[in-house]
Amino acid sequence: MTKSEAILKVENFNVEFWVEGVWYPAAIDMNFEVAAGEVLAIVGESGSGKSTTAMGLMGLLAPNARSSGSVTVKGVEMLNQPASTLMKFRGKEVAYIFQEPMTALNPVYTIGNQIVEVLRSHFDMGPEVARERAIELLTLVEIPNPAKSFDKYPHQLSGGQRQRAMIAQALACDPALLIADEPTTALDVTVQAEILDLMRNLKDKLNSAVLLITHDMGVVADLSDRILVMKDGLTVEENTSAVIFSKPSHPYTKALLSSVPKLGSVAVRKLQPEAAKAQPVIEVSDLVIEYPKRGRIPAFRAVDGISFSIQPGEILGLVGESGSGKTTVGRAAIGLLPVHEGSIKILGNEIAGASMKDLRQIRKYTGIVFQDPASSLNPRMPIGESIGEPLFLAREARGEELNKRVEDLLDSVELPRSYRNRYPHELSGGQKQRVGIARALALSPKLLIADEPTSALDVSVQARFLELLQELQDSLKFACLFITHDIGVVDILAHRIAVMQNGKLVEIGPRDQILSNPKELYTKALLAAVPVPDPAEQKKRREARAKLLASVK
Amino acid sequence: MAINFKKKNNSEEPVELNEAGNEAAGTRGMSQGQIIRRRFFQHKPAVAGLVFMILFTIFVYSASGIHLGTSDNPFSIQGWWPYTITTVSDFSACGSGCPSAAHPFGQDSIGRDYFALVTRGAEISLMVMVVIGGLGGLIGTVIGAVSGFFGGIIDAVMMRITDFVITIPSILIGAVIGYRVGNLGVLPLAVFLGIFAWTGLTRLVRGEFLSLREREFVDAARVAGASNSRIIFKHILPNSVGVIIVSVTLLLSGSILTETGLSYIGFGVQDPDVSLGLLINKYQDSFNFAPWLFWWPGVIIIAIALSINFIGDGLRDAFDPRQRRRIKKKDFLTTSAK
Repeated sequence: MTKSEAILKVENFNVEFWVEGVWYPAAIDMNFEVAAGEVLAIVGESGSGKSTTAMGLMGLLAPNARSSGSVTVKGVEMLNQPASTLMKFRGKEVAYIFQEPMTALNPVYTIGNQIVEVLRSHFDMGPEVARERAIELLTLVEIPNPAKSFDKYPHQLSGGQRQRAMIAQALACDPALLIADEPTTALDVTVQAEILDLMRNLKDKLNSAVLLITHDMGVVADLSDRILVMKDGLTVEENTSAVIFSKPSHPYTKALLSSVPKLGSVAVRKLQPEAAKAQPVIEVSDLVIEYPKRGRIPAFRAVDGISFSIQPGEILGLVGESGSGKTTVGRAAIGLLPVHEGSIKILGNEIAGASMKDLRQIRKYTGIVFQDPASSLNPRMPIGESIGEPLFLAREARGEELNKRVEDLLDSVELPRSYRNRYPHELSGGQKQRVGIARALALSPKLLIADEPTSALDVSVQARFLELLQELQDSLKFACLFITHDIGVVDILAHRIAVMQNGKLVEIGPRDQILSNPKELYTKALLAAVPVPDPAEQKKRREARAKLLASVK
Repeated sequence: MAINFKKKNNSEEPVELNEAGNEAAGTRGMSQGQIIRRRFFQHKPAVAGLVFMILFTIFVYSASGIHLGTSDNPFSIQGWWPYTITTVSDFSACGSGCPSAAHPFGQDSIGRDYFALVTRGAEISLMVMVVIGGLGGLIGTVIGAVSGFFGGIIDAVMMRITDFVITIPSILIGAVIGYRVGNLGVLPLAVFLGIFAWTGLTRLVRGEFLSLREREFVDAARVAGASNSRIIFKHILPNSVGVIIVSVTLLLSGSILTETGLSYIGFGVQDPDVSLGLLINKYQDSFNFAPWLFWWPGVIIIAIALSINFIGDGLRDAFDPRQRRRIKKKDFLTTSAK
């Protein structure tokens, strides 16, 4: 690959944001090139300026931003050009794949319609021809039954299919440059693996240049040729994939690499023997949960006859793809959803059919950490009050004592005490999730339910968060039901792992047995989908996974 | 090269706060209410509006005295202003009743002191506003909150009642009440109007509650052991306060008009009693020969409406923690030219 082939060329690129009277740099002195058929990955935590860079390249920044330097696509200057010039390039030469397909696709148009729109605005094309081409594109991205999917609305497709539709839309005009902004962050591990496979195939077929933006080193290992690591707007390190993974030179790159959970890298955590004999903290037997029928939509059985129990001090990882019913189990265990059949016993107290008064009593032994920290904290309540609320309502502490307990809780999750008067939006995602834990632990529960607490977090933040949770668990000895779609996460924490699929329990057993010697095919597939931050190793795993999937078919 | 950049909300390190005073607060815990109060008092126009409203109300009531009851059975405490709305005095020096030392606001066409009329009118308009706005706001918020929070049958029944009330025009209500029970005076009329003024607010609050009750923080509060009423009033209501304040502010300004309209067709405020709306209505033609008759009530209505809007603004900003100073074009240009 010679320099002349470079599709995208970025020189001395700077982006600054105007915040409260001061210009804050978000991307500083960026220099890079992407050639045709090459994948350049920009890696960094949230806030490192990687998305800003990607958006800035095409002039899609917020009005309080300014950019300088030079960005050329196929030799044409893009930066600070009038909208009419950019319009010819956007969609046609440069295409975007956004992070969240549900919000990036217009919910009131069919996906076919949206692809046709791109086609017809860039080419002189009749509706029939455009439709044919759109179906061809949908076939290319391997959407099941493309002709039928053409007329489907975004909400009728699964997350993975939506992302495929968006890729089809991005590819509509054979773009020379494809910018993928965290294309798999919102997806399950198994779906992520599929989308990565697809992108790798397409890149070879179309010979486009790809700029991949992500925080996940595992994803990068799977796909990229070269890597650029960003921190606080600065380029920390740039090199080929192989070098970055084998000999990272910058400490930040090393830290980023080490924060990716690696399967089987941690020694199994021992459970105290006496705990095994004690009364289980939670005992679930033959649990069935149905969402009642609504109008013509029949009742949906989300959880279908599952049984498990957790001993005091034990962490059970509940793993499954989205839609497998794992979150439903967690919410039922704390009485937020009615139990249809079967029973859930918390320390011997039955939850199924319990009255509000009984539930209030049972909830004193349980705490829950919700999936989305942005939604689970009241935006109009200072976090100190959120944390203190369970104590206040349980009449455990009032006034000065409550004050003291809230401070202790903030200390235990390693947040500064001065944060107590802040509102949730003034905290980062990781900090908000710590507040969530502090609130869940306020009443020193015997059982903590953690519902995908790390799915909204960066990998490096996630690593720190899991460490904290582990420390807390070691000192407080609560039992924990840890719900996640990422087997890599439970690997660090769990004593035992349960795998769910379509509302049924597929497999349950000690961590080592599930990870090293899974019995069920589904568990194997789930394990194979976890990306590993090592290109050579990942290549092997990918091939093994392909073989495994082929054998199923 | 500055590397101090830290994108807010995303980094794991402590985020620098640009709001002064928050760090100084140290570890002292502050409740939602305390923080809202502090933020409200940092909002200068709102405080100015509040101070004006308090001083103006005291001034008006002390000048004109308190007058309640019906015309047959009046209850009055005289204020410090020597003239009443019924005293007719000789025209001052300029003949047409223009403002003078004895009558600072001038005199009306038959020689009544206009200051007495305007203060009395302001008194009545303020009372009507407060009663209609307060009652309408209270009923609207409670019904909307209950109906949106519980949903199902409760929601359906309450919304049909709301639909029914919406179809009845308030002029008709005033007219029927005036016809059936005679002219009771301003206070009962304001109460009746308030009882029928909540419908728009109810719809808005219900909509807010419908979307907010699905948020996870409601579940989190429930798990923490919160009762329904605590979830409604402590958790969801502060989140829908923006809608409520905007709507109540409009209701307050609207109530001046409703009262004027009713008085015009003969219900509500009757001669010799006055309200600000009635004064403007009566003297809109005197703009050329006796402009003070038009200007004084007009300026006072504008001042009241502005203060209420400022107070509303301040409340909304105080409740919304996200509210920050907006970027002005001017600042943007001056700093970009470095």
